[in-house]
Amino acid sequence: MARWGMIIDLDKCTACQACTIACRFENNVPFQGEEETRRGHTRYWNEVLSQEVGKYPMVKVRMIPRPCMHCDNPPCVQVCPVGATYKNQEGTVLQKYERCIGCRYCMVACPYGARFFNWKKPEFPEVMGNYTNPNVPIRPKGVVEKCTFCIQRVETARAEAKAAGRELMDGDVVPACVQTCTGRARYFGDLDDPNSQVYQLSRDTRATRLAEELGTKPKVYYLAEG
Amino acid sequence: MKSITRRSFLKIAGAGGATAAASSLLPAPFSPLSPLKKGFKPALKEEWVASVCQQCPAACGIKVKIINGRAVKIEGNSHPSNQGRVCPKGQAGLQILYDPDRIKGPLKRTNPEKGPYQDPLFVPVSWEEALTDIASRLGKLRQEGKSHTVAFMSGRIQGKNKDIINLFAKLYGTPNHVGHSSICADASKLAHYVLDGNKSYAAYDWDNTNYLISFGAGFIEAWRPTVRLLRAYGQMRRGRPIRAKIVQVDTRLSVSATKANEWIPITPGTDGAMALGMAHVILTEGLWSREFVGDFTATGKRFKEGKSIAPEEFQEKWTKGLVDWWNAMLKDFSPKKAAETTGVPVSTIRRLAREFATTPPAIAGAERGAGAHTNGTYNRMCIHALNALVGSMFAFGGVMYQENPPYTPLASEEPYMDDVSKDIDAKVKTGELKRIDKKTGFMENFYQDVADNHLKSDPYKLNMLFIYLTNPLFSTPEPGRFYEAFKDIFIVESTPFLSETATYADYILPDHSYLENTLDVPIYPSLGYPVVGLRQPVVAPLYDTRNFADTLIELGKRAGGKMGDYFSSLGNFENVLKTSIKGLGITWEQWQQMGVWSKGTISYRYKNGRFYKDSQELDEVAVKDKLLKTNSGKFELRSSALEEKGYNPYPQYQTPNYATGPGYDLYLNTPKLITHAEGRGANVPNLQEIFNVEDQTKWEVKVHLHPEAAQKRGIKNGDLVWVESPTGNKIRAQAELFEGCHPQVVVIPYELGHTAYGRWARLRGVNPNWLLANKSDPLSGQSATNDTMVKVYRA
Repeated sequence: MARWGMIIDLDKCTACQACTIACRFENNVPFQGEEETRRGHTRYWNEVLSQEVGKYPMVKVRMIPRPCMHCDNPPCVQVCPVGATYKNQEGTVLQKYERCIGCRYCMVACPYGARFFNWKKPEFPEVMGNYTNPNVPIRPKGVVEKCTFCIQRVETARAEAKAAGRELMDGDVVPACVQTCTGRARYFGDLDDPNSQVYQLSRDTRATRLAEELGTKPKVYYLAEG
Repeated sequence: MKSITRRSFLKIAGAGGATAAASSLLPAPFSPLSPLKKGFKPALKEEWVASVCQQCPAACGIKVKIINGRAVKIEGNSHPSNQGRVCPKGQAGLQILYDPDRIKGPLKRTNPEKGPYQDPLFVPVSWEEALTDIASRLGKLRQEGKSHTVAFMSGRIQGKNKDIINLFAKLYGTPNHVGHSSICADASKLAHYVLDGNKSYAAYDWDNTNYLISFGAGFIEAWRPTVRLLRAYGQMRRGRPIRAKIVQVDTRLSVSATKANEWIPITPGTDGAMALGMAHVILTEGLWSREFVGDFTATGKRFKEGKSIAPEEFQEKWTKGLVDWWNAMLKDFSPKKAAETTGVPVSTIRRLAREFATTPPAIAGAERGAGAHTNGTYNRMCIHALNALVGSMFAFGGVMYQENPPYTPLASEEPYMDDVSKDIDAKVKTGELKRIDKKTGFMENFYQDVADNHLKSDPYKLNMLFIYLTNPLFSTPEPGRFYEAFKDIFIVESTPFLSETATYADYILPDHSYLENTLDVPIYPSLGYPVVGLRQPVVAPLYDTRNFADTLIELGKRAGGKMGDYFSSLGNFENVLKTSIKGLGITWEQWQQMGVWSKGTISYRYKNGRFYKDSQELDEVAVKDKLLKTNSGKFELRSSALEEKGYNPYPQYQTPNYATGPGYDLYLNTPKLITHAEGRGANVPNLQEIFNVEDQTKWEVKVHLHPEAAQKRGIKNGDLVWVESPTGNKIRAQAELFEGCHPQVVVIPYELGHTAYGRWARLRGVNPNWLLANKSDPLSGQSATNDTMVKVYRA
């Protein structure tokens, strides 16, 4: 059984945000419009965040892409009162939309801000509905949603490997953000497989995880810049 | 439409496997699986169609996933330029195809009044009616001897589109096909031309370079080709054992600057001075490439500050005029002088010069940041000269030029020219008839002056104007000039979107969106070897639209006479492409399937003082013919091309001629961000929602100021401020205090501020072009968009 994880090399990341947009199209994440954005209701399963550090001229803007960390010890799962949020057998943290009661407790619990509430019904105005991905459900108003590590792609890869009569190999599963990553900064694979790229990179001296001190044990590792 | 509520969702979910289609517009039925059922199988038929992106001129290969006739996902194709990846603009292409505000069929204007507040009152017409009317107007103007008053203005045209417009213009009898290159980066092209004879953007061997000093070029945002550069960044950083160093010389802390090893803030417009200071250090410290530049004939000689060198003392190899340049410009241009001009410390200039010259292969790159000034060409020459001094021209990891694809030429149009077109052609050649943009000397286009020339009837007034993929009412400095000028011109526009310029059109002949279009697309200069992608329809056209090239061919046929014969012989645009690619040695079917043709290797290389073609050494004649195409066949540090036309021939620093006045104390910088493409992508909501990654603004534009500059003006973060320029125009936006601004610079990203273009573009943000004074570099015609000073005060 794989334990899926992701590596993001910040030294190669160009902050281009192709991951954000690839994710939106792959996972039917609707745009929210200017007004909703102002209310802070936009949804980015994968967002590139920034922070200004220092004073002119020794100033930098640090930028990091933030998908769901798919914690091994996920606070969101612990607080969900109805069991809508769960960790599947491969350690991926997922959301059962039909069970979610929209209490947003999980959003408060998540230290990474990786969960989003559907404040209004999803809109793909007029012909825009054409581009929605039929392999991914569109979430209705009133439920929480989040990054799934492109579970539909995981399952497709598994089915393809099975059809070819072999086990899943490192590199078979490519989430949309990893596929388009322009600087090739993202890696995806099985963190338990010592031969996988992610296993090796997660033990790199540059490897670090966000807010590790909280004991969440994220499965997304960052490789520091420099 | 059946509304989607949580209740109905639960019902479907409870039904367990029921496949209730929510509506025709939401074709994905709510799956009872959450988020995915065990043993999930994508049962739908999916296929991938290869095509080429058009969100910027890079020409990245894309493949589009088609499920049940709908395009649902764009990914990168295995194309040599982008190698399977696409940028956010490329990903968002589906919101161009399925943009609900697209023009759905030919439109005719019924309101004769044109103005910013006039509703054009468009009514739908048939293609037949529109084309008949336009053809008869064209015929009438030609009969009256006014064929030269018909003009074409074009923007992002690629491949054979350009040829069709040129052929049409030539056979019809007008010299006026004005491209947008002068509001792009013509200064770069001209700087290359006068120094090494190649009138083109340079290609760079990014994957193998060890050092990049970029003067104001948005390496990983706005420099083209985007994905090639983004990919190179990853490669230069961690894709190989040795990490390349990237230095960004810029007036603001752009994403490229913050992602570079170093950001060197510089006074706007002085990039050339810094390059000269670096050149001075490279020469005085003896760090130049002996193999490329040459050496002193006697030992013990050195370049010393303030001391001239006699020409016979130095023996040059592949450069020409180094000693003259030293004596005329460089000997007194010490790092101290450069520091005074640029505001960059002497020690930094020295250190960077040493690093640059001792970390081969090294690249000195620049584009509009240094070029869009009134001294743009000279600025760019100073920077490009650095590449020669360290021997990077055509070297592994250095600077090269793009080879053109070996197309089979179309049938010559000469035999099809009649008296009118011959007469016009002759008058243009003798200089008797000027183009509407009045371009002179080295200029390719002088786009931004078309409005003034028309208004002044100098050289004449235009009667009819075709607009294709360009939007002068939005994208030029002081667009108000174009609002005024275009009032009395009969305008025909081909576009998928109702742009500002389209609201002034008399006819709109809607073009396909790029995902429905057919075109050959050679890559933007980058890899060196020729690559041509095929843009092909990934889905059938959604609306009653036509490829502009086909529309022109149809108009050509209707012109009758010899011109009609020529366009009849072309048939249609697909035929044109099929003829052209014969020279590439690929069949149409292969090309359709692969989506790209590529030669795959770089032919020319410079190494250790010698030039090679496919490892065969080249003699001086061949080098002059193929690589260093100047009069002397050398890299001319004293440019004979400039000298012939009476200009100062040396790379030099001139003070930019700013549009300013009392109280205008801040330099205006209007950069492009990665998420948008020169205003063309403004109606893409997914991109609006990630507009500026650095300050996280979305759906709007903020005015970036250094905190000190803001404090002086009593401006706090988030205050509304007016930005006013000597043009008399002012715009209002929210201030964002940013430590990454040069204290004398105010930054307003360019993209938003549309008054048309669609529901998500209209009336959001501000367009800083209204502040820009229409100034140009007199050599290249490059619009000096960085040469306006402004004042900022609280609103």
